[in-house]
Amino acid sequence: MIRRTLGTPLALLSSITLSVLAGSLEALPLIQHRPPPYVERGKPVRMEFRLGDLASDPVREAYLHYRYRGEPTYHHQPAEVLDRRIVAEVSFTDASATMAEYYLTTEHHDGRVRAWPDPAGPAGPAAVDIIEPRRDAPQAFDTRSGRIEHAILSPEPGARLRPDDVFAAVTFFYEHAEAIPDSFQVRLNDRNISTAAEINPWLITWIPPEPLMPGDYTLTVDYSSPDGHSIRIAGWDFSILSTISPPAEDIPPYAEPREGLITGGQIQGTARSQSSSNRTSNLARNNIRVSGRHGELRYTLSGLITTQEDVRLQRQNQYAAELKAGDWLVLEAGHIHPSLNPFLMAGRRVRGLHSDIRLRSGAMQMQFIYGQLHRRIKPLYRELVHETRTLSLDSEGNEITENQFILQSERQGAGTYARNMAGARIGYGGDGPFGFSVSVLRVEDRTGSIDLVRSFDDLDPGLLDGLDPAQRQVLSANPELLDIRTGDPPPRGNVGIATDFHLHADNNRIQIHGDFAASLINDDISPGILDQKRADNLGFALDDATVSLFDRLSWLIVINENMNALPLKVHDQKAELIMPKGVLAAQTRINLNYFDHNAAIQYQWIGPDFSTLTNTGLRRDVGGYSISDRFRLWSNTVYLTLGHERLKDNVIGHRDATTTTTANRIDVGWYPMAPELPNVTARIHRRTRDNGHERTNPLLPSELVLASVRNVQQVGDEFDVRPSPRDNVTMQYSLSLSQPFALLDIDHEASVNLARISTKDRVFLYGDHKTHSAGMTLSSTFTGTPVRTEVGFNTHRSESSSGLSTLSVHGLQGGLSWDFPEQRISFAAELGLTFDRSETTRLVDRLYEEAPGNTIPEQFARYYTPDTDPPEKERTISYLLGSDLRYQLDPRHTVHVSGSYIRLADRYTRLSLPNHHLFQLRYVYDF
Amino acid sequence: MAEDGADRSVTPRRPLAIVRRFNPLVQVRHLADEDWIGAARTHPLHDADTLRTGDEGFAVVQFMDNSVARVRPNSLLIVHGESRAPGNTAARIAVELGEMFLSVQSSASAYEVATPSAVAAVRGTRFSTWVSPTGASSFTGFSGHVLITALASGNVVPLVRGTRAEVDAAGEEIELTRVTEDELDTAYDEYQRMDDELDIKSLWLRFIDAEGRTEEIELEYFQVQPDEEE
Repeated sequence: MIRRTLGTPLALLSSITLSVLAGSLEALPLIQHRPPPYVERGKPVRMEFRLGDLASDPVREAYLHYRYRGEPTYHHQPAEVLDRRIVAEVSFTDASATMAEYYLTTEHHDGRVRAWPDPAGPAGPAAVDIIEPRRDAPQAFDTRSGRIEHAILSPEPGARLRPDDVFAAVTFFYEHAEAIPDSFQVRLNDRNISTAAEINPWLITWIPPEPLMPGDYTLTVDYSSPDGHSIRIAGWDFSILSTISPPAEDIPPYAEPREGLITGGQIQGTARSQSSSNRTSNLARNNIRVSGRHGELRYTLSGLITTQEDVRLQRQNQYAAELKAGDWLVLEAGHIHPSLNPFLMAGRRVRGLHSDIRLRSGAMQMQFIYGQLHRRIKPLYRELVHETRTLSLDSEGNEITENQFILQSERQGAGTYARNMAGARIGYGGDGPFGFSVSVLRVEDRTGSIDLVRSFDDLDPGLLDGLDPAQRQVLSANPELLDIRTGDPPPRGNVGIATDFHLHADNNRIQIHGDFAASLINDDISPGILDQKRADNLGFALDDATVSLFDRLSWLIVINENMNALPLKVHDQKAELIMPKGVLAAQTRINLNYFDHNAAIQYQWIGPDFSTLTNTGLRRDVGGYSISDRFRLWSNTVYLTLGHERLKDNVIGHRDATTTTTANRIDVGWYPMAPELPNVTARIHRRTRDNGHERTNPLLPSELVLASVRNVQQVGDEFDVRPSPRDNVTMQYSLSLSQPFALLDIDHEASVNLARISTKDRVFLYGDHKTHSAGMTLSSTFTGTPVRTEVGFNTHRSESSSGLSTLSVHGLQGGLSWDFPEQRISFAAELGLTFDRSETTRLVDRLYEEAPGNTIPEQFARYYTPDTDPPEKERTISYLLGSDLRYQLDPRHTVHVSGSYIRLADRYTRLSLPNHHLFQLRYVYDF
Repeated sequence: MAEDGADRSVTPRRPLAIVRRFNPLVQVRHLADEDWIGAARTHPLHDADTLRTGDEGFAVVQFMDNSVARVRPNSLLIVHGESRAPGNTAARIAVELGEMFLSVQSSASAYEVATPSAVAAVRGTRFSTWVSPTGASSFTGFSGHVLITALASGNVVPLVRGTRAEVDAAGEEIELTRVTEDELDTAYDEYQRMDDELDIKSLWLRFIDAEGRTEEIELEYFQVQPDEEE
């Protein structure tokens, strides 16, 4: 595939197309990814994301987040960051899922985390159909080139055989019997043995009429094309041993995997230099991976050392060890990515230990995790600064002032507590018809791991050096004047418990799955448990029994007034223990698989306070159901999905308005087996959001009501603010086609993507937006020369604020790769060009002059209107150049050299790289 | 007819497997035929062909993805499926009677082994299947992971190395038991020994008449190694 070698980023263009599909104008990362038209259930698929050189900020870490449609949370899987690509291999194994949704996050050196596509955007994450495993369609037999898929059955290439143990067998794979058996010639050491061979269009076999003499042999199969040319289809060597030689080799009857202390591994060294705006940054990374096996025992060791390691960041150098014993034991240590119940933890990186034990053929499962989510980072403070603030003037006109002593952190000086976690899961049932498990999780910041300044008493004397003696005296006498502006996060704690069960019946055609979870988070555990004195200060009484209970639970979680949901209900100034409903979460799914239908009914309920410190990507405050049916037609080549979903927020009624989201969708995928037919995917989605409130404002004339800044209601003579109304409908259409074809002795694959998203806002005059995008790519593989090319074109237009802002982007991209297998060199180059044009009219808010001025707040009578200033217009041209060179010194040693140059000024991605260039050298040693 | 004399006149269809090795007591019946014919080396097997082994018969069947089925004496199996790409074979082997050891080489391939009472879904693994004359079946795991489903009840159990799933003739109950490493090794050795015995040996006899004229003929035979206790 050309995508493998053309690694240089032409990401801008494609990121536009795909970001448009994602419907987000905020898509900062320059990432190119072409979602596959479908994935087969259980078959590993390689997701590749190409990077747009990422400005001056290389990716430290990347994760692929995926979920099966309907799941409330994502599974996280680390992705491999290569030259300018991010690669993740994932298998979608869920037996009843019909669609997977996914997005990529990249974590950068400056700590920023970027998500692509934005999972919370109008179109959500990328999506791909999951279809049943299918057999590859055989290629057509190209009788002109002799290109035909084949498999050598015997003898194995390179085999050493006994004289009497030889037969040859080759089989061919193509759709129809295009070949004429007489067109094949079989040769043994250039001697034509065709007459002695059994030849039919799909299978050639030959048994020597008499034992072969010891020596080396070459078997070849040639094809005579209709125009008389002889074309070599297959050729391989084998040896015949003398009869007194040791036992000959055949296919190993029970070939065990290679055993040994070290059975394989890889060492990589990477050096990179990049420069942007005369700022140069260099980095080096070294990776090592070693694996071995002895009987049932397998191990893998891996490590990463990088110059990006920084005491002010979380660990960049990473190491891990894994030991497996058969199918029943997995032990991991180091930087690992364990999972528990998905509500609690789904692939989060931990530095620690993980064991997974499965007994009774997997029916009993026990998992234990212990480790650290964050390491401690000491806070760095600047010296105290004294400021005098004027409060007001006294009756004589003199200023009344107040002293302030401000404490701030140094740049990148924020502190982080060491965060420890422990978790366990015990399950029964495994893959059987019934399974059940319980997971528990505890996370807590170690409060003594760093010394944060939280009050005057915590100040280090050195921080007072910037104050004169008088100022010190003032502060010492009035410690409340210390103004801490460091932004250091307080220490937190979390405990969660979850259960899941599954029930499979009627030969797995009926599957029922359920998860139930509860999680409590304390956002500041530093004050300790809530006691009676602090409860008094908060205005209620706490009895001794409750305080005692809090004390006894403190080993699990510190319960105090900083809980995200306090397990107390105050009635008549007395507190009663309760179970806060908002910390609960549940989902239940029923899958029915009958008559080529995959029907699913799902109910989910996730409280607004359900959150864990190990799984932050969960959508909260949502409850409702979804129904879908995916059915297969035409010998499993057409997949039609109908879906309906109705979700509500405000599930515990803690807000003034409840938004109902209703979505209906039709997805059609046509994935024919025949290569001459295209793969086609078409989707139509319609989504409405409505919170039942209308936009009203009796202070404004009717033509301005829908532009009102505030939603105002008049009750009697009073005006008050109502919840902001929400009522919009979004339509999303997308169509993608891909078609391989041959033209002019060249194999091509063309793909076309079209997408349109429009949102009509019924309660805000400037809330409409639309995006249109189209893209086309043509990949070509030449016959006879090791050249592959790729050209593409993308166009995008978006309108936001009901047409006040428009953006058009047109892009061209081209790439070329050239492999010289004999010289062990491959070379690739790419070029990309984009043309942006934008026009923006600002939206400003104005006061409606005729509104009564004195009796109401001014904001009530304000409305939005386009700015009268001329619109801002901008045109930019960006270009990207990149190349890769790969030289294989020998089968074990490979050198990769990459370089690129970018000139980018782009409103769409909001990146400006006036003169950015990169050079990278990577050496790989496989053993 | 090939030079080895075997009759392999079959319809030119894409084969699913070939007989890689055999001893003489192996026969094949093609879908459209009523008669059994003696198997030959490289004999192609197509969708819905049947292979049976006699009292001393043993066969090694090689599929197009290089997966191998070793069929023990007094067995009967029907192969279904197709092979549409290298390393990608979809096959359903119906073991009606007897015993077979299957070693699946390619994880991209999908194999099912069906007995009268159960079905095993297989990917890249090795296990043996035994079917009694009553239809009860037994599966023994040597590596990998196989799901065994009892046909009547739908009960499913996972089969891994060192386990044996026994399904009653009615296809209702599955009993999962442990198999010791010694038992597994013994079974390996037995299959290996039978495999080795499939080599065709040649014996050349030279006849010299009274006038000194010489003629040689070749006799092919299978050498059976005596059991240790014999």
